[in-house]
Amino acid sequence: MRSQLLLLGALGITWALQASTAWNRPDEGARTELIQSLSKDHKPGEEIAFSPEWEWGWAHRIHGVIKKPKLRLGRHDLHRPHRGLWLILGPNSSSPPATLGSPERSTRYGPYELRFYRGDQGATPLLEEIAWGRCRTTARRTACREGKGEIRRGEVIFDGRFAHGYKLKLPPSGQATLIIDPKDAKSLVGGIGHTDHGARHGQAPVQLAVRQGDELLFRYAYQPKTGLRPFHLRLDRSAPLRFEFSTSAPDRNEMALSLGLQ
Amino acid sequence: MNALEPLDRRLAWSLGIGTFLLLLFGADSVGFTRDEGYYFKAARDYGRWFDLIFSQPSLAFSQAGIDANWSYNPEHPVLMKSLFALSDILFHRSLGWVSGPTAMRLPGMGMAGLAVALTYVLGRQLFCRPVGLLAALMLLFAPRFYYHGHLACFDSAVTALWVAVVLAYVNRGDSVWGHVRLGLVFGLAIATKHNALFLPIVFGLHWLFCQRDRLSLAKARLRLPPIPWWVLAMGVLGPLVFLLHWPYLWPAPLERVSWYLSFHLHHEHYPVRYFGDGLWEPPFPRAFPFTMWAITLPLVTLVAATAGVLAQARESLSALWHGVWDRQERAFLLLATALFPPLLIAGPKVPIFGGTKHWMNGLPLLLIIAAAWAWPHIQSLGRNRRPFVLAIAALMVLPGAVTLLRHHPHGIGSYSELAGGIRGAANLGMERQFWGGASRQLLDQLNREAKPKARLFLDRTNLDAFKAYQEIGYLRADLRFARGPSRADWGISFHQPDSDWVLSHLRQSGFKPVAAVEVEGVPMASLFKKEP
Repeated sequence: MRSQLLLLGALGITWALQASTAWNRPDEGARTELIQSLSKDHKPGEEIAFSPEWEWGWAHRIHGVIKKPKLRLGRHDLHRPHRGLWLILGPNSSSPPATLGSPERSTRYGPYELRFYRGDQGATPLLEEIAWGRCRTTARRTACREGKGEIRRGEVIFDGRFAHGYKLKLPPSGQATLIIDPKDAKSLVGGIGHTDHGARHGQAPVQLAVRQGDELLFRYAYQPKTGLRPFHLRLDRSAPLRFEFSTSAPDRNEMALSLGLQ
Repeated sequence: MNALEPLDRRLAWSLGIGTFLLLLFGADSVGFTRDEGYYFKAARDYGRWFDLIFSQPSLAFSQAGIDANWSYNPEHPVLMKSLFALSDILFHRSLGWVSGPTAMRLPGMGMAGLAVALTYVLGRQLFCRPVGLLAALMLLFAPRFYYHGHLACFDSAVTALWVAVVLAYVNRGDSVWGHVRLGLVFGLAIATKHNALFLPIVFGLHWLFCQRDRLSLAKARLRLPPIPWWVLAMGVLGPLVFLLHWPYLWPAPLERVSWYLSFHLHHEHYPVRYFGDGLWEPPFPRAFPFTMWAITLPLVTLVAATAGVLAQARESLSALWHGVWDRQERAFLLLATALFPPLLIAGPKVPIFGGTKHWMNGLPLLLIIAAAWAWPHIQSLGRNRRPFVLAIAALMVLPGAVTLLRHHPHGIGSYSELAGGIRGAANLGMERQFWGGASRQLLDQLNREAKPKARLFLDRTNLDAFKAYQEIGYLRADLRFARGPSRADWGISFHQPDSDWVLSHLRQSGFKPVAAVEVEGVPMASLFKKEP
């Protein structure tokens, strides 16, 4: 009797899950309607993200209606500030990060939801200037090398997840000091952590100490684990920040920084 | 053991032919995998040797002739590749019925049909006709088995041969012919793929279990019962068939067999995405093969298989406890032949790439165990009334068929109800591509939009598969293969661990996404066009 109930239960749950997953399949009509609405309301400079982040099919649809859209690449890429963000939420989506706050607008299109988050117009969504030694990255210069170490701006990879930011390869000395000038910003926001490459190969934690003048503002030991840990530093003054990285095992212990100012 | 009746033979043939036809009709949309590209090339090389046998036999059997035609791809034996070659010669070059690549796929489909048919036969002999049918249909509709059945590869073939050897083993009786047949079939199995090399170990464990009352320890010496004839049959005929089938081994058998075994003992690891983590190097999670079975087989099949394994284990333990000396010990044999493949892969240093194909040979036996457990309960639930019993059996078999239809032709990345389907699996961070076939669905757009002589970077789709697409007319002949994205006009990126860099590189290098191959919204491959 118990076995019969087990089989019956298994049949019931199997077919219920089949129905449920069929119900959650994409609705192309709703998708099209959402994209058309987005293309009408989107303004230059506003960024777009979609969740779940693996639903990469949104990207070519967005590119089809908006010229050179600024796409955020997923959950890890939503830690940074923005000047206006459109977020497409689909079935299987997790909750957006709490740091986004409440949306200004939210519209449903079938199983999808399109949200707009009003950002900070004075924000710098992604730092362009980071100095290392005598080198400084700029809008045009995307990389700096120092003693066989390197910092390079672009996409950083976390095992199938991505973010815009900087990849930091530590030099053989295991030490790197990056200088970030916050200017008049009130906070430095984003995420710091290991790339997937760094998590696989890093043999020791990477210590980070953030100082402004003589004051220690932040200290943390990043274990070699893939992904960005949220980072939010409130700033009382506008002096440059020193990001002091150090590790006893620098070989392939690759870090990622995805930071903006607001 | 139940004797086969004429109806059983008809059913087996029907299942086999039906499977073959289903695969053939669905094959057009299943893209060529990287390994198929290599095997197409190998088959064409070996095919030249078959031509040479008739035109210049002395050259054909010289070392120069052998090495010139059999050197490519020595890491796998050549039974299937030879069949690919012969099929190409017959169905394409001679008869012109199908294209070369399609002809080369036919033996793989035939082997998948054989696997289904033999699963029926084994289930029928060990239990009853309905158990055989249930198991065979569950195998046919296992989405990943169905996918692999289309390919000019070895995985469906070694699955069929694994079942064939088990069948030969249980049917060997005491006759000389029964043992010779076992040895020959084992030879064919190891001539298919190296998974079959472990069968003597499995049968050895079974034999020890069956003969446990004859084992004794006296004066610190272990006494074994007489070595059975199957050891001799498999030990002599198996290697003989293996050696004879593979001309490449003839000039230097010891050296070349050693190389072959060493290649697989030290096989490199390809990355796998597993619950969001990239697994690039050992140690790998021991639960990997079992977890993958759990989330790729239909949930009801999983439940039946788990309950069935427990039931067979209870029977084996009961036999141990009560001392029932059944020299057949079917329960133990079923468990060993079903679970040895995944247990082998569960070793932390054993490569785990390839989805579920590397232990797929255990699947038919697992499904027989599942069907054997389920059938009496199906009968009870249906009150032994045929329409109800058939309906419940159908409800048990059809989830696999539904999933298969929903995910075809991308069964390589199919996940079942326990994972939440293919979308749930994507959310869990599970791998859905590794072999380069999903570019098939992007070829029409390339044909329409690419400029003459455009260069295409196709990521995991390799040059041999690219040429196969052009040969068959799926891709324009003027389009050119680019080895990297830097000089390409178009790029394809697959969504898998070792292609993350491709996706990222294309996005940052002036390529714009223009299309994606999706299954229920889950991307398999994405197409990018270089912006001017």
